[in-house]
Amino acid sequence: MQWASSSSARGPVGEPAGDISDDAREVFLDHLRDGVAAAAAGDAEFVLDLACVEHISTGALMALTIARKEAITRNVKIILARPQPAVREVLEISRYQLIFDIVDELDHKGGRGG
Amino acid sequence: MLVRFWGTRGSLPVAPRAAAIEDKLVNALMRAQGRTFTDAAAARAFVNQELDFAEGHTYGGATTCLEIEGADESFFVCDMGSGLREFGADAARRIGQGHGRTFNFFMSHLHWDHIMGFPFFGPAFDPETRIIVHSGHADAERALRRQQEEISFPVSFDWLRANIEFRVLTPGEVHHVDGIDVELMPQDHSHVSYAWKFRRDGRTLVFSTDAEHRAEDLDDKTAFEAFFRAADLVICDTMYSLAESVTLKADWGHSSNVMAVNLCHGAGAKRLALFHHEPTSTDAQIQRLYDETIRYELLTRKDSPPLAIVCSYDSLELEV
Repeated sequence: MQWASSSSARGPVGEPAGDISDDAREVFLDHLRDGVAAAAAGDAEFVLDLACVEHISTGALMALTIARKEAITRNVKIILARPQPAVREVLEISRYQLIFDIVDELDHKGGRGG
Repeated sequence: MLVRFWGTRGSLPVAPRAAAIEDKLVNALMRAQGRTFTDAAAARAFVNQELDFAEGHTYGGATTCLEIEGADESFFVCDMGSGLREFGADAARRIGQGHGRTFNFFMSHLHWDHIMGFPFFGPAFDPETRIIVHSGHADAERALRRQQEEISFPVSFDWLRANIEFRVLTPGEVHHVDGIDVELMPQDHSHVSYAWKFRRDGRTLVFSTDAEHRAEDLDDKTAFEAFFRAADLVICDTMYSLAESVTLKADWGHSSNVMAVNLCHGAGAKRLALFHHEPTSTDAQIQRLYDETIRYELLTRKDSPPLAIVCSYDSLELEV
């Protein structure tokens, strides 16, 4: 899994790419926590841009679940943006569209950082 | 071994209302529009081949009760939910044909939906019947006696004429019962529940209901993948969606289709049976769960061997 960061009208954006495998679960969770912290500092939302994610493992779903619980305690909403069809399907089978906002568009602003 | 499902619902027995049956019939007639069926066999073929299971059948509504055929002489039964009543009637028929009168029960736990069938278990009234209740719980007898106290039920436990004994089995050990190797493992559920593993002639069946698998608990994942390892059939609690199980219904002691598939993939199990259906689910909703689970398995399989998915229903029989 690779990771890049940027920002959007909603707040900081995390941009994983490739497969988020079970092996990448802890690294993924660390990135999510960093994103949530940045959003909390700016009283914003954290956007997870899934446009470049080809596969999301259960470990990754679990990391997302943990990050969501922690984000709630910090009054931060995690937004899932632009999931690819297979990833969207996994999210919907898990009924995660009921606990996350999933958006199809992303309004980037500012530069990108690695 | 053969597994026969006598009850596949969780929490509470349910039954379809008249309107639900009417809706199925209307749908079937509309789907058959323009057809002529020459006989009942032709009509039955249409139902079985051209309607999905929810359209032409029902997943049923009795609570947990499974029978395992394959012991040397006795009946093997997992749990005593409301499905036990019908099993008891069928067992009586088979006893009349020469089957032995010993019943080995294996209890996942003692919650009401898993014991409510026992007061209606016909063979328990036969003085020539022998009943052995295997459990990880030391208070299994107390639970069964209590539900038949007069405040709750008009027939006392002491009126049952069968020879009934209770055996507490130790998790982590292999127990040899009537030709089948049996193991049990504790699970995360109120008052603890137990998964059961049955092995005979190189075939392995796991019965794991009423278990909560938490996202962050890697020890649980490791333990259950080990217990499910290479099983020919794993019967799992898939009562809630993943989202429900981590939010509103967290700590309710149940699990999801997603977690069940993940554990079975990690264990290299061959077949997963969805089980302990939510009582509020319609047949169409259970059908959707089944279809989605098949799709989820395909999307997440990667390097794991394919995992066959079955959706349990009352009266299903599976060879193991």
